[in-house]
Formats: sequence, structure tokens, C-alpha cells
Amino acid sequence: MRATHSQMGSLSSPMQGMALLQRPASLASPLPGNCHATLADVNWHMAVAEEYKALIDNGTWCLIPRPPRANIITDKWVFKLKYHVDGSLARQKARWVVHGLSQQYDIDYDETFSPVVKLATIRVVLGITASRSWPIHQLDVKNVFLHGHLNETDYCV
Amino acid sequence: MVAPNHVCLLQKYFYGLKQAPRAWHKWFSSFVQWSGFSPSTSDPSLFVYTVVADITYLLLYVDDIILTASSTLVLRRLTKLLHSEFTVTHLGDLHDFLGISVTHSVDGLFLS
Repeated sequence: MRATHSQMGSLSSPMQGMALLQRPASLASPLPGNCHATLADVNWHMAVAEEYKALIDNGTWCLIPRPPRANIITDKWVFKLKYHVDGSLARQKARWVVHGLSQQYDIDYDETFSPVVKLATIRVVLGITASRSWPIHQLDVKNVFLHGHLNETDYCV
Repeated sequence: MVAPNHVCLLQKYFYGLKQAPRAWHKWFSSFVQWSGFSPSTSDPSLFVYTVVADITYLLLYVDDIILTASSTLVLRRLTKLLHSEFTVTHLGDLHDFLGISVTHSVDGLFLS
């Protein structure tokens, strides 16, 4: 289910949902300082619930007795306001993240290098597309890092 | 708390894990290669799919994808393929990628 649909689905009417999405940025709920503060605001609470659902649906962790000497990674909630190009509020987004800095090399992870597309490659592809009038589309993958299975052993509280 | 001496053993690559971006690229890359794409030798974020006379280019930047093909049919088929594996939002014609905004016109593409 699309994020906006699920958010709107919990509101009493679709019109109310539209009103929420079209609110000017200045009227957005203030960023909560922590997860508990989101309980006070229905929009943030829904954002947290949506992220939590994605985590649960993807089977992202299992609860186990704490192994001796395990390095425990710390975590936090990140709250963000997303805007449309015209500056109006698109949505309130909550994301649960872990602190990579609390990971220990060789224990919690090993290789981290990941390639990034070169600007020259983008230009060449756009050039070919334009000269041959090919259709060119843009896609965006949701919750990318929830794909695949973690090979290393990482613990979190 | 129900289980005070328990910890969460992570099963997935979370946002924030040091190895997450690498793992995602590897996962995506192996999926598209299984689907028939070949990674470019000069840029591992460019994937090429050639079938008879049709050619498709796929560019990946973390969670953003640009897909272009010599025929609309092939483009539609490969979009469907991505949908079958990932939760993908189809944003339509390319308009904004890595801070480059793209305007379509009869003469071609205008980048700014």
C-alpha cells in the first residue's frame, strides 16, 4: 500500500486527507524530539506506525537472549518533513535507523565500499536518449535497505 | 519491558548500518543480472539489456533508477519486472535526477 494512501485511510474522510497534504509548510506539525513525543501528534504517530509496519512486514529482526560480550548498536528515530517542488508539505516521514558509528569493524561489519554512478555516464545515457527520442522513465525504490538478508551479526536493543 | 535481557538480532540491512549501501547495490545488481542485464565495465551503476534489436539502459543511484529503452514495449516490460521484485514508485517521465532537472521538448531534453 502506498504511504499516502495508508495515511489518508486512517483519517475520517478523503477530503480531510487532502487538506493535510496541501497544508502550507508553516502549518506542519513541529519535528518531534523523540519517539515518545510523536504520541502527542496524530500525523507523526501515523508516520511512525507506517515505518514500524514496514519493518515488521519485512521480518527485519528477531528477539534473542543477549549473547555475552555482544556489541549492541544504538538506534534512533529520524523525523523529516518532505515538501513538493512548490514548497507545500508532501508528507511527514519517520525512519528508524541504527547508529553506524556504534558498529565495530570486523565484529559488526567488514566491507563497505559501494559504487556511485558517474556524472559522465548519466550525460552519455541522456545524450543517446535525446538523440534517438527514446522514452525515459524515472523510478524510485521504497525501503531499499530492507531487501536482502544481513550476512553479518548485528545486535540492537 | 517483556524481555529485559533480550536483544534484537538484525536480519536486514538497516538505514545507518555501515555495510547497507554496499549490500543493496550487490542485491540489486544480482537481480538485474539474473533478469538479463549486463553491468557496464566502465560504470557498475549502468546496466545494459540487449534483446534482438532493442536496447535498454538502466542507471542506479542508491534508490533512484533511470530506465530508458529503444521501444516503449520493452520499457514497460522491464518496469513490470522491477515491480515484481521491489516496492517501486513509478515517477513517469524523467524530470529530476541527482539535482539535474530535465525538461522534455520536441527538440530533445533540456537539462538544468
